[in-house]
Amino acid sequence: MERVNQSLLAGAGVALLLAGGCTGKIGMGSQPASTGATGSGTGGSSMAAGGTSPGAGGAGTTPSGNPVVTVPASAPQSPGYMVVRRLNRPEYNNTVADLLGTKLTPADDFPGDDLGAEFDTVGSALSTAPEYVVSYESAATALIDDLYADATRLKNVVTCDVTTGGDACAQTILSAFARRAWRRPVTAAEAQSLMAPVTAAKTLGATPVDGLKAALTGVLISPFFLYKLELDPDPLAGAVRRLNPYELATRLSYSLWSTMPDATLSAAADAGQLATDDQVSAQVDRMLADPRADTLLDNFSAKWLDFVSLDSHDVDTMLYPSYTSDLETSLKGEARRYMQEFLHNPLNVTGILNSRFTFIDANLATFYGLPRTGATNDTDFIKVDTTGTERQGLLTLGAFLTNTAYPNRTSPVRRGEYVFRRLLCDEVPAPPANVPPLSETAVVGQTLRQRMEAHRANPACSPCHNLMDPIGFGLENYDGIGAYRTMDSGAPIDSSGTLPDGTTFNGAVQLGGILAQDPRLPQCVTEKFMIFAIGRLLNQPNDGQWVGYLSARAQATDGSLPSIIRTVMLSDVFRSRQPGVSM
Amino acid sequence: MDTGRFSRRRFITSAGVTLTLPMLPSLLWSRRAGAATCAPVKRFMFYHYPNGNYMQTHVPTGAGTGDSWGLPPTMPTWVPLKPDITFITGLENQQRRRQVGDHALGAGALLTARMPTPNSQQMSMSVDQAIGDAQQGCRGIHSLQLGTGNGGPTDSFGTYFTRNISWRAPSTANADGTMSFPVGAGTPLGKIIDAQTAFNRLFMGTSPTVSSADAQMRLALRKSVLDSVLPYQASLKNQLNPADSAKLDQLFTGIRSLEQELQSTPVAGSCMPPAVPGAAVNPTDKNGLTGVDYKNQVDFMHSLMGIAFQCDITRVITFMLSDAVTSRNYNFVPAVATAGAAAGGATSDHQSSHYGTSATLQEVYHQISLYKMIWISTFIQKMKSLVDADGNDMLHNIAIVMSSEIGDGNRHNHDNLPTMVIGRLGGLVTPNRLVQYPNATGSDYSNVKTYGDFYIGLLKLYGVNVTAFGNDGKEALGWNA
Repeated sequence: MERVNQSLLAGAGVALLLAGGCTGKIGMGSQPASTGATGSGTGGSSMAAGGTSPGAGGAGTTPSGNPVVTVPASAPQSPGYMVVRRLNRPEYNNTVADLLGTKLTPADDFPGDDLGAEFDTVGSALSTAPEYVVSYESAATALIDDLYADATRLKNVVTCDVTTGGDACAQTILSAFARRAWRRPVTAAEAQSLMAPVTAAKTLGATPVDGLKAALTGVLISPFFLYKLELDPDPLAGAVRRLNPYELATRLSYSLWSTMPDATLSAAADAGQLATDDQVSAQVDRMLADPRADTLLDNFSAKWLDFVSLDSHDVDTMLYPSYTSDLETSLKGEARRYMQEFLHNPLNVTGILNSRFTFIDANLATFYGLPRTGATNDTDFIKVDTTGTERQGLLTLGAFLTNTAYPNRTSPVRRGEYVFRRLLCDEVPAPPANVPPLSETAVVGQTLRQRMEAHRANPACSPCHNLMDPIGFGLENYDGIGAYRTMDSGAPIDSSGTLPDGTTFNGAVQLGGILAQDPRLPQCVTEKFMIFAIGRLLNQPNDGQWVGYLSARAQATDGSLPSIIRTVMLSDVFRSRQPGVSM
Repeated sequence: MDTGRFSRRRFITSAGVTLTLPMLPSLLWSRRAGAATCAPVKRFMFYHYPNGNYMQTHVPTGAGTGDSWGLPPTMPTWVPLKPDITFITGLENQQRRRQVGDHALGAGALLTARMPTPNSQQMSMSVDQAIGDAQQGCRGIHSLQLGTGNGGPTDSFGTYFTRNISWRAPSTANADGTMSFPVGAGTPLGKIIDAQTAFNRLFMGTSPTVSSADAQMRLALRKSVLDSVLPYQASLKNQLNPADSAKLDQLFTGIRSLEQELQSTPVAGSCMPPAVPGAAVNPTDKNGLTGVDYKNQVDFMHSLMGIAFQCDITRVITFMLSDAVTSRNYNFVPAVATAGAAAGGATSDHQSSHYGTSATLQEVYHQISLYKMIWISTFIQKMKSLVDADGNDMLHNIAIVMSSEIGDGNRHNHDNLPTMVIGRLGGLVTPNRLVQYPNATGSDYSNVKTYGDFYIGLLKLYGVNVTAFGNDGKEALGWNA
């Protein structure tokens, strides 16, 4: 049978898992009960307690770790516990670009960032191996050398001549640089410690410029630069507190622009103008309206929807000769432009699945067979109305269809599982042990759906497969690279289906329309954005309430992505923190 | 003879991946005056290959030593290397704790013998790190973690398990001279996957030659910068909860580790580095490496690791041929392409590893597994052909452990893991032997030996005495002689 990057489960827990896990019904918004049957902690493993390690199956979560969503009348009391987040690679590159005006992108060579859920912004997942520190020091040195090679940029940082101006000059430069790099005012003690390399330079026989360069490097190796630190008066057990303006500015700018606060936001923090709802709202609106907000397309939605995997997705070009790197570029461009429409317009996020537009360049006009007019260049993405065509929304985007296929064929199970996991924040448990896989050889006269008949016939398979397969079969008209087809292996494709709650559909357009009504969809978008923006997994007791509460508030306005973003950022789950450690 | 420091900007154009053989051993030997306390040289490597073994044929024959045992039929190119191989069967690593996420589970436990927890970085020290710590200061670079991509999925546990096999975690030196490695806040050690970065890291170096006064001054300045950051560890501890403190400790640990490296005996300038990797081994998207790009990358890494050991730049390396669950495409191998054509075009690693009852898919996995073994043998062959400072081949002073995160690729089991140790570790290992440990009988594991036990024995050879390792390592296995 299909493997979906999931593993076989040893016999005993399967029945329990199947019973507990396969009760989710599309369209009814219910979540599988938390059975804890994923077996975290089975078999006497002597894991020490302590530290934040809320694993899957924690209180109020499904076996996959998703929160069980409810919709309370008011916001929960606690924003939940955080683990400190270090800058990830795109954030590092963007930050040094803003700080120094550099064109260097040193973080490209840093070791990889580990993921929490789909994102590289989650504090508990990010770590700093010694190899990272080697990279940091090397990068910082290269960045300062690069700064000194450009007189114009250098003047912005080195505002006096340290050879003649001595320590006073060095101190001025370092304090100002650290203020910007550390995203907050610098204490007198910190300013003093910044001077250490300047002082050392004198005894070592180095020049004052050497000393200053070294000290500037030090600013960039400091924990205050590398981490988004939020220090509590009582770190062990203090009361919930609002973030101070600098902490909030850091959260706002990294969430919205993946970079350090700009001068305007920084000034607002200095002036104490990030306190009221109106003040925060004004900044969020300003930043969302700025082109820089498009980093959300690359660092949030491309990761949430896995468009990033298209870069490394393998397609068998013998079987799909039209899949060229040009086509891949076009598919990526379409997906990005598509989500951009939801980022900048008051469209309900449910439209992601049932909207009747997309954006195509010349390649895609040919590939999709859609008319495209009004373009100046072949590479321009032009908005087209897809009403009456076989394209509707995310589920018919070539990027999604390709990513969820194998190199040599479609995978209905992977497509179905994607919808469950990424769009409904739900879970489909692993297959039972010892299931024989699907034969990879096509059978003439049999579609893939027909070959997978065992999923429906076998009662050990059907409870879970009845969740995924109908969705995947409903998309079988789109081949392994998303091209439309009516035949598979010489037999006509049947893309009709019945969802577990009995709703029937025929084809992707109807399917998308039904899924767009699922109440879990907007809640899931909210959940994904919260993980990304706050930078923690949502596996604490109140998190299901936060998701439900904030999603409902956003839906009560226009339900758009900007409205979800605003709602989250204006709420206390984003603006406050709970000191201490999750148990 | 080039005794100068490698310039950061020096580029040697390279036609391909073939590396020059380095200098005569006597010249290397004369440079290592500072290494007297780190003799005899003991090197360690863990070579991980993903997605398990083709257990239909990856089974050695016979028993015992010398001619009484034979290599599995999966390993024809290893025949000349057999005298340096200790083949171990029967070891278990968390089979009795199996749950969803077999690949992540296996990779997490691979060098730690410790069952991972989903979404948690609570872990215990991996064996390579314990060995590196025991040799602290012997070489500039404590240890190196290399690979070819960062595409491993969460697999129900976390990408830090599928993309990483080396873990730093707490360690305690006990009064009786033993070490303990309890579970605590762990640091997954991110790999270098970029050929140029790996080259720079190893051969551009972090410390200059001793003779240059200017270079020494620069080194001292660098140290003053690192020193100026360290005091924040103490001051921040009062303002951070334990979880945050543990995260920041990683930064300070790294700073100390870098300082240690700066202070260590510099690499001899006469050690000939490999040629700078050309564009063929440096495509921009490492995770997207397929086909011949991937082959070039791995071949380059093989060469680089061989020379890194030979130049004694580091003594501990872990290498992931690819991440766990990788779907690397092996259609660049003719036999795989042929088998794939009969299997509907399927030629990728993970997809074919789940062949079930499909004979055609099974053949694809078979060919991929054969190729992996051939490929890895080219690295071992390279090591054998390089000459160490003491005149021996490079397998003489090393133990290379080779394994995958699961046993049978199709069954995903974690018992009866075929494990190879290649090398003689200066005579501490007597190879050309098949060591067979008993399998479980049903659910009775009382006679089963674990990776934890294996590592207790291994660590002993490196001078690290432990009475426990991982979940259930409790006795030192005497597999080495």
